[in-house]
Amino acid sequence: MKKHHVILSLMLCAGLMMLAAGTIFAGESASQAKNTLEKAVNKITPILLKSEFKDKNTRKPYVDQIEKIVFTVFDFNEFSARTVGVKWRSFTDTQKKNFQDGFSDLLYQTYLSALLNYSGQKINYINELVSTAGDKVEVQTTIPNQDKSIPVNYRMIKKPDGWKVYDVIVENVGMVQNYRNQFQEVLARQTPEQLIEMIKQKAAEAKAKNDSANL
Amino acid sequence: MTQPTYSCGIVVCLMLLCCITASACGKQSDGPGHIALEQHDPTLPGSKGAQLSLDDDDAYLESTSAHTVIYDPMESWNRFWFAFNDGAIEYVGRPLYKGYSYVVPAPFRSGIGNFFYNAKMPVRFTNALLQGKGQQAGVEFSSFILNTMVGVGGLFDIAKDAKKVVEPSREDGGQTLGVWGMGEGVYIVWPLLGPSNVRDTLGMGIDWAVNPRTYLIDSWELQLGIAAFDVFNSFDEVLDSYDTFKGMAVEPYAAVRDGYTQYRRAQIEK
Repeated sequence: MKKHHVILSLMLCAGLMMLAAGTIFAGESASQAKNTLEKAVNKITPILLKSEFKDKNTRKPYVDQIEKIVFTVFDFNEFSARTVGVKWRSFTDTQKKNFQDGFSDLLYQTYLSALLNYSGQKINYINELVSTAGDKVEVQTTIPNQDKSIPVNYRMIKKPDGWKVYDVIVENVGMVQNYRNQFQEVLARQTPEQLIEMIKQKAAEAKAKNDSANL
Repeated sequence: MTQPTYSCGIVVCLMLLCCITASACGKQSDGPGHIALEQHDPTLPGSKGAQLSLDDDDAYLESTSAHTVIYDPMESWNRFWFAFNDGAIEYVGRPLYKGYSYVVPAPFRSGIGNFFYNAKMPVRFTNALLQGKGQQAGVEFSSFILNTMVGVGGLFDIAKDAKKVVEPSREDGGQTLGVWGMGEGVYIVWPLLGPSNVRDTLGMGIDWAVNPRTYLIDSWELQLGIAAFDVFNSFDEVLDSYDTFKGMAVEPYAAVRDGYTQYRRAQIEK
């Protein structure tokens, strides 16, 4: 009878300790991921406010600088793999590279006007969600825009070289999910080459539009 | 006497449409044009929600399924109206709005927008109550009183800056039906009204019925005109999100279909 008690209380203790360890672990993941993101954001936002960045003619070195920072915190390979799905593995290395070049250009061109419009709004870090295994964190933020605030959530994954963003959810619409739906639609009928071509063409259209607006 | 019978008829028709489309979804026809979206693997997680959870989203790496199941058996009809609406926005809506926003400056437009928003309080209030969101309903009601009394009949949104128990979340009939457990049914693109689904279409019917405009104004032409003007007055919001989606999208139709569905599911989950 007594023996039972001992075993039970031991189990209870072990359980409690695991629970506590879990919470600590989760808390650590959350703060690590959040800090990584916050650091990168704090490096990028001052560049966006520079007049040299706003000016088309002196922008290039600043864009390179931003790109460098973005790629320390954003895992573009993970992002691409998720948007394409299992077919990503059948892409050749050249195709993967072309896909990512085109895709990153498209994202840059479509977000350029938003980046140029940035006027020092403070990003609010609201909350973090942690996956059961503690290897993924969703950092939830809001960005004030005119008279409302826009929720932007960053999903991050733990990689050997730190926490990396692999999905961005803007106003509850997930980018991976949204591009995935589009790419499935295209890849169901067309080849990876054709998809890459479409992405490049779209990026060129976006660039032409920016150019004509003199951005 | 004829009017109630008439509206009853419409509701019954919509219900029937809903049943028909629902059963059509059950047995998917696999025409040559039909692809991945419907061939969802039911063993994969999170298919009905707005987003796969953090724990489940690695499934993205392991399959080709789109994961958000959106029933779109009317795709070719929808694509036709999608293209039509695109033309209507580019060649009619945008130029007209450009002229309108030139003639009517921003503060006036926002005043008009506030007035309409305030006047539609009964719609949001009723839907909040129907969803059992008492605090939400309370916030709607007190904002309405404040804006009507102090904000010159709703022209100024005084309540915006007031501290509230909950943030107002624009409840509507589609969300109410969602909270009650109705599925979204098939995806529908309506001419001029844009992306919707069976549930949100029925929801629009509810909102039309609850809207005081429906009782205060006799002629339906005038009602329709006011509704159209309300949308047009804040058309810049529509244009903004439309341009973002269209600019980013490689396949705009699929992008809007998914974006609309994710957004509505998230609103209902809240």
